[in-house]
Amino acid sequence: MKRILLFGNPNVGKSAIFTRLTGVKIIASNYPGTTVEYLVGKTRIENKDIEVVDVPGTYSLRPDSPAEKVAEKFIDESNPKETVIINVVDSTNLERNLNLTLHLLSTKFPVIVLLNFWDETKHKGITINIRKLSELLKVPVIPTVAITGYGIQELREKLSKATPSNFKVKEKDTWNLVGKIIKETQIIEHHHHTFLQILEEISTHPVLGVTFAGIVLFLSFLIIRLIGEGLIGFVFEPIFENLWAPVLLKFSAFLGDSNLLHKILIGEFIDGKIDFYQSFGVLSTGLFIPIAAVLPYIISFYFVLSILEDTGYLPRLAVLMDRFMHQIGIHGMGIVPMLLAFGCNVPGVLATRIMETRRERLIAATVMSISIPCMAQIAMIFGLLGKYGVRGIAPVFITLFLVWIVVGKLMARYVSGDSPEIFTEIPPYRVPYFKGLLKKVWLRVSWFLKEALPFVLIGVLIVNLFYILGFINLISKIFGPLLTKVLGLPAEAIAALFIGFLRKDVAIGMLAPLGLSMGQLITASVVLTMYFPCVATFVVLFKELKFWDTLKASIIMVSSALFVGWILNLIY
Amino acid sequence: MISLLEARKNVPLVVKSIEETRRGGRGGKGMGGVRGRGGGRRNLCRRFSNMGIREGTVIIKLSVQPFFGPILIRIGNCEIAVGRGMASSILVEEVSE
Repeated sequence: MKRILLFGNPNVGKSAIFTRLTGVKIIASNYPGTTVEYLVGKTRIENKDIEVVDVPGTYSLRPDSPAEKVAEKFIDESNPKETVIINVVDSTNLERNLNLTLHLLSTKFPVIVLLNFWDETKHKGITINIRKLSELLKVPVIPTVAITGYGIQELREKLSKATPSNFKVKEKDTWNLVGKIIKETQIIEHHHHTFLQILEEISTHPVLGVTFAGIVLFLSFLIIRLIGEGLIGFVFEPIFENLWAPVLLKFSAFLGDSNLLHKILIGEFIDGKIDFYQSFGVLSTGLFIPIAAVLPYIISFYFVLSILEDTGYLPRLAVLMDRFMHQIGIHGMGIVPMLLAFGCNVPGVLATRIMETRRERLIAATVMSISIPCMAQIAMIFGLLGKYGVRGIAPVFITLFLVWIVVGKLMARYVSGDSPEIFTEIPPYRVPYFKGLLKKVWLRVSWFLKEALPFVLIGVLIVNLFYILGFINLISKIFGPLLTKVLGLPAEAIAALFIGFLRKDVAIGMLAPLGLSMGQLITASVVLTMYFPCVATFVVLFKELKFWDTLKASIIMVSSALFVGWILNLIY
Repeated sequence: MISLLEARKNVPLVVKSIEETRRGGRGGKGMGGVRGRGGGRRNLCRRFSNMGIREGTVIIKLSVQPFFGPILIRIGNCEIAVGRGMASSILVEEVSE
């Protein structure tokens, strides 16, 4: 045995089993957290390293959705002699899950069936005869509770002994057979509603649900700020001010403070000191922005989002938001990529794959890149406009929200194609598996560090080089007058717009030393968010949408950014 | 036989058949019936059956989201959200006690 494939319906706790089996080294083949990507890890069984693949959740082996196509590919690619399939089954939902199980048994692979969420069967009045089920399916059936680790040892012991089941069933007979198996193995008794079930009813209730959503989102926002600000104030800023600044000062003395290298690496002294927001050296501001100003919010945002995801709240929010999301031509599940985009637009764009049609993906990706600021931008906008309080910050977000609706509505009207309706399972509320949750947050955060950090450093380097070479002055002279007229921004701000192609947080940081008025800062923040995605987002946009749709999206972005900037300029 | 849209809430309903309907206008309005993805009724049946909705299944209509929002149904221990167009293609009958 060289490989283990974890198969199962969505929301059966597959990822928790995966986390239980594998160690620290997990490779996300692209961006994790969306349904289409898959994770690969390693486990040791009988002193051999074995690859474990967390295959995207699927209801059958017929490729109906992109996720199911990926699942099917794994079956086609793997060698049955060297692979074992672990079929994770939600034991509170045995009947529906068995459809996939029977499909898997009909392949040539050895299969082990896990009855996960075994502890929940008791609360829900379900009794399953495991021995009988195992006899009927002709493979081992093991009850598990991923959160506590119950059953995992037994699974490890049985893995190497798994054999193919030689089960044969025709496609059209599958459900009849499932019915027969259920009759022989499962008894369901009446049970009283648990606390979580009452919460479930509230959260999709037409009236109470909206109130509940308001409370959940408000609390999420509070927690994100609390954790983010806490990390900045008590951890990252002190580290930079007390530990890193002295090192840089020594380095500065070593370099001598008036040469080019000093200007590039450490930047300008502000009032005789290093100012991490304004000095603009690669090692000062270049390191500070991604690590101390943005990373804390990325950590806290993904922590909170992962909790919403793993408890099962997101699909409920999707149901509540369905009607509203149809305003922009996508169904309720579109709320998931939109929320992800607040962390970073890149995973947001990737997550649009959960939408079924090209039209939905184009609308979702464009609207998102135009009007949803990522955590890096939000952090910087708060940094710039925070001193004006709500008066400074609210106009930025209200404008962006209006843009979201208007651009979305226009696209829904003029982009051709289909927008299917929502059709999704709503899993019960569950207490998240904390270790798995932390692993997910870590994957997302490390992704940010790998992808964003180099761009920021290169961005700051280029800004400095451009200044030194006089390039920025040149662009300011050419485009400056136009933008001064339309947007009311000084010619120097053009440099920030230019750098915004690379990293928006760096760009917004460049506005700080310009001494702009509140109105100008609001205009600049909105235009910077809207006019074009950063390089990383642009690359995935291009990969996802291909040439023509990316071109369309880009034209919409630039023109709407100029238009909205012009309006804001008139207002302020 | 009535469509799931008209059925009463919180009573057991047995699925009688699944008919492809083409209610409403363009997808662009957002509320078009079952559209896209091609394949018509067979495809629709398969998507339903993957989620456990087949002829003969007993389901319960739990709630209807306002302003033409989706319909929530329960099958066994599982809750599913279905758009109205798709829901209109599920024909049901109340289970007689």
